[in-house]
Amino acid sequence: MPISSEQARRSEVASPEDAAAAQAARNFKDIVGGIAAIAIAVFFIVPSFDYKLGSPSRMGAGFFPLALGVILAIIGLLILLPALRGAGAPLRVSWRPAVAVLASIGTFGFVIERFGLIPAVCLAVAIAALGNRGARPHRVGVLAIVVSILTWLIFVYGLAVPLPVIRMP
Amino acid sequence: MEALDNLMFGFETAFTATNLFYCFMGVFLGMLIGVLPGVGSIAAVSMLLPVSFYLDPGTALVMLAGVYYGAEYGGSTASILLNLPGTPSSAVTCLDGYPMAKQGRAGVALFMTTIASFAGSVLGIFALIALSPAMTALALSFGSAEYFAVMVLGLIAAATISQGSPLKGLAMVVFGLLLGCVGTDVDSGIMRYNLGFSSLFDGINLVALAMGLFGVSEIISSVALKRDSGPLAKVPLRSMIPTREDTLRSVKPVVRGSIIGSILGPLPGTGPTIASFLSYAVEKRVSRRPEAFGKGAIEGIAGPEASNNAAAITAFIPTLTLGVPGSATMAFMLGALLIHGIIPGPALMTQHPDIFWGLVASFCIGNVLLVILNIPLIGIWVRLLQVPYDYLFPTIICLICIGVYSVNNNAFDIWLVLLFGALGYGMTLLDFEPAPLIVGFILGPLMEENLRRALVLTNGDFLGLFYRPISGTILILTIALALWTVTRFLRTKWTAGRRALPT
Repeated sequence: MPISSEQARRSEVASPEDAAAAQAARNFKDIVGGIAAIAIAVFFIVPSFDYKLGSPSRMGAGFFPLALGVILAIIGLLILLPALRGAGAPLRVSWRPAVAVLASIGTFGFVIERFGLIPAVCLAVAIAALGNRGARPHRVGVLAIVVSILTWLIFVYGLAVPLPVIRMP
Repeated sequence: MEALDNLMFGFETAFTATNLFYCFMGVFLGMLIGVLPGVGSIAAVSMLLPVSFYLDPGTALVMLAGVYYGAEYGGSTASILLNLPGTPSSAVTCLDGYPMAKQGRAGVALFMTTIASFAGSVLGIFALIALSPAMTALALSFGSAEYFAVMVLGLIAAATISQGSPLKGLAMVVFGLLLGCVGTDVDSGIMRYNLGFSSLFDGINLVALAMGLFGVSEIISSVALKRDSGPLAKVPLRSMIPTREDTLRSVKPVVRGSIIGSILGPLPGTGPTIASFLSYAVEKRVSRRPEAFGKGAIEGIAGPEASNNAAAITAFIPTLTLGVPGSATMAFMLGALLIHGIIPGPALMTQHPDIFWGLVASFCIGNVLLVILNIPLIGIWVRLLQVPYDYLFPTIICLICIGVYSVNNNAFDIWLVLLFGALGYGMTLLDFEPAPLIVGFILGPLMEENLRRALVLTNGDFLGLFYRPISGTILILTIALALWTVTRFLRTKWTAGRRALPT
C-alpha cells in the first residue's frame, strides 16, 4: 500500500521550520488510535458471550470473535501506552472534502431508490464537487449533467445493468 | 506432450470470433476500469458479471477473466501517475512508481510495468499448465491445519510489511478478521453482529467495504490536498524506453516475482495483493541498495508487477481444479460457471476440456492483447488522468456508488460505503493502513472454519497444530517473522527517542 498518502504529501508540503514546530503536545494519533482499537475490541467482545462460546475442541460462534477481540484489545493497549508519554505529529483533519464526499455518497444512497439514477448522480456530483473550495456553480451544474448522461450511457444503455433511471415517488 | 495437444485444442476454441471479441472487450474494459483509482478488479468483474449471464459458459469465463487480469494491468497506471492504486494489488507499485514519475521517469515505469506484468502472466500460464495436475494431488494432502497456518502467515506478512508500525498493521488485520465475523456463522447458523440489519445476513458486502476503505478515503485525502491535475505534462513514446541498466536490474526481480506469484496465487486466501507485498519485501531484502527503495527503484516495480500478474493467473488453479475459490474474484468466476450448470473440479478438465483449455489459451491471447493495447493507450490513460481532479473525483464517486449498488440493488450497501469511507479516512489520518484489513476480512471466515476443523481433529489442543510437519513449520516461521519485525520496530522507536514524525 502507498506510504500513507497523508504522510507522503504532508512531508512535501511542510517546510523544515514547520516540521520542527509541528509537534503536538502529545502523540494524539496513537492515543486516538489505541483507544479506537480498544473500543472496537470491546464492541466485538461483549456480544460474543451471547453467542455460544463452546470449548476449544468444539468452537462455538463466539469463540473466534472473543479471541480476536482480546488480541485487538492488547494491541490497542500496546499502541496507547507508549503514546501517552511522547510527543507526536499533529492531527490534521480536512473537514470540507470529507463532509462533501461523504454527504455525496449518502445522498446517492438516499436518492437512488426513491428517485432513480439520473437525479442521484446529479445530486451526488454536485455535492461532491462542492468539497472543492474553488468550485464554481455553473461548472458544477454542467459536470452534474454530463456525468449523469455518461453513467446512463455506460451502465443502462451499454451494459444493461438493471438500475432505476428516473422514478416519480 | 499431452499438454501441448491440449493447448492446441484450446487455441482452436479460443480463436473463434465470439471468444476473441469478448476476450478483447473484457481485457479492454478491465484495463480501463483498473486505471481509475478507487475502482479495482473486483468492482470491474462484479459490474460485468450480469453481462456474462447471456453468454456461453466458456465465453463468459473468457470475458470475466480478461476483465480481471486487464484490471490488474491497468491498476498500476494510476499508482505510478497519481500515487493512487487503481487496484489493491497495485498499491505496492505506488511506493517506487510514484517517485519515479516525480523524477520524470513515468514512461519507463509504465513500460516496465507492462513488460513485467506480461512476463509474470506468461510464467503464470506455464505454471498453470504444469501445475494443475500436481496441485490437485498436493491440495488433497492439505488439511485444515495447513490452510490455517498458511493464512496466519499471509496475514502476519501483510501486517508487518506495511509501512509504519507493524503493531498498527496487526491491529488492522485483526479488525479485518473481526469484520469477517459479521453475518451468519456457517457452522451454527447464528447471526453475528448484524445489529438487526437483515442486509447483513451474508456479512458485509466486500465490494462496499473495499471501495469505501480504498476509494473513498483516498479521494477525500486527495481532494484535501488540492493536488494539481496530472503531475506530468506528457509521456512521449521515446521516454518510455528504459535504459540498459533498468532492464538489467529488472530481470531478476521479474523472475523472482513471477515465481513468488506462481506459488502464492494457487494458495487459497493469498492472491495478487499479498504476492506483490511479498515480492517487494523480498526485493528489498535481496537488494544491494535497500535504501533506494521507496525513492524510485525499478526493482520495486518490476518484481511486484510480475508477481501480481502471475498470482492472478495461477489463482485459477484451485478454482478450476478443486472448485475452491481462493478469493472473492475467483468466487465470482465460480458463480458464473455454476449458473451455466458447469461444476468446476477435477471433472472439469475431463468433461469440459474445451472450457478449461480454451480459457488457458485465452489467457495467452489476452495478455498479448494487453501488451499491444497498453503501449499506445498509455498516452490516453495519461490524458485521462490529467482531467482536472475536480471533475474526476465526483465522477469516480458516482462510479463507485453505481458499481456497489449494481451488485445487490440494495441501498444499504451504499451506506456501508459511507461508513467505511469515513472509517478509512479516519484510519489514514491516524496512520493505520487499510490494506491489511481487507486481507483479514477475506480470510476471516475461511480461517475460522479451518481453525475449527483443525481443533476438532486435535481435540481442542492448540499445540496439536504444531505437531503436523507442514503446519508446524509454517506457524513457527510466522511467529519468528512477527517477533522479529515487532522487536526491530520497537528498538528503532526507542533509539529515535520516540518522536513519531512522519518521514
